Amino acid sequence: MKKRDRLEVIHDILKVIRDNHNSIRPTPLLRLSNLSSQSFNDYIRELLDKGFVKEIKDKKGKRFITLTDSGFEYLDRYKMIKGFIDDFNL
Amino acid sequence: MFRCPYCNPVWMSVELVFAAAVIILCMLIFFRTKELYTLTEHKGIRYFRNTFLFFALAFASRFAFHLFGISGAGFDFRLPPELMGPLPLLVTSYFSTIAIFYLLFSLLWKKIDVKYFIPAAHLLALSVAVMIFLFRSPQVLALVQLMITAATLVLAYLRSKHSKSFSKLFRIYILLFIGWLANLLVLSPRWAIPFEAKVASYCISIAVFGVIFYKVHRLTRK
Repeated sequence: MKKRDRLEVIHDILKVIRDNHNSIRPTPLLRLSNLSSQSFNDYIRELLDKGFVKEIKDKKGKRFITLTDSGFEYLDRYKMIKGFIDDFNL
Repeated sequence: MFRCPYCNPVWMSVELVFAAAVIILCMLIFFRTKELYTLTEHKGIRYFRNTFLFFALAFASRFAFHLFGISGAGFDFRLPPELMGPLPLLVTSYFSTIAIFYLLFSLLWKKIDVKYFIPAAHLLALSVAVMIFLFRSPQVLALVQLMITAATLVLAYLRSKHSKSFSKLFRIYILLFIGWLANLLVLSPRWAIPFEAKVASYCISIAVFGVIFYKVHRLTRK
C-alpha cells in the first residue's frame, strides 16, 4: 500500500472529523486515522497550532475535536491543492 | 562619440514595459499561490513561490536601474558610469541565479534535505554575481545558469517520465528553458543584437511567464 504523504494524512484526519458530524473523541479519531499514537499526537498538535481543529469539552468534561473554518476550507480546497502539486510535480 | 543609452525613448519604453510586465506576472504567480502555501506549508510550493519572487526581484532591479538611467538623462542626477553598467548586472545576476536554484529545490526537496543547500546556493549565486561584476563577463552567468537550468530540466524529466502529468510538467520546464534562453539575449549588450531580435526575446519571455501564470491561475481558481 502506498505511504500517505503529510497533506493526505491531514486531509484524512479532517475528513474523519467532518464525517462524524464535526465532533469526535480523540480515541476513535486515532483509530480511524490509521496512525501510530505518536504520529497522531504530532499531527493533532500541528492541526491545533494551525487552527484547523479545536478542542471542546462537553458538560461532563469529555474532550471532543471539531473542525474550524480553516479546517473546512482545507477540505474544500484539498483537490485543488493536490492538483497543483501534482501538475507542477512539487 | 558618446551616446547616452537612456536617451532613446523607444528603447527605454520597451525596456520598462518588458520589465514591468514580467514583474507583474511573477508577483501574480507569487500571490496567487499564497493561500495554497498558507493552508499547507508545503515545501515544494514554498520553493516554487520563491522562484517567482526572485525572478520578480531580478526584473525589478533592472526596472529600477533603467529609472535611474532615465533620471540621469532628464535631471542632473546620475550614477557613475563605471557603476551604471555592471551594477544592474550584479543584482540581476544574483536574483535570477537564486531563482533558478529555487526551481531546482522545488523538485529536489523530497529527495534531499535542501535546507543545507540553500545557504550554499545563495553563496554561489553571490559569488557568480560578484565575478560578473568584477570581470564584466555575462558569459559566466550564462554558463552557470545554463548548468542549473539543464539540471532542473533533467530532474523534471526523470521525476515525471512515469507520471500522468509528465507531458504537462515537462512542457512547463521546456518553456522556462526557452524563457531563460530569451533572457540571455535580454541581458546581452544593446549593440550585440538587433533591436528586433531583442524585442522578440522580450516577447518570448513575457509569453513564458504568461503561460505559467495562466496555468497557476487555472489550477488555483475557486
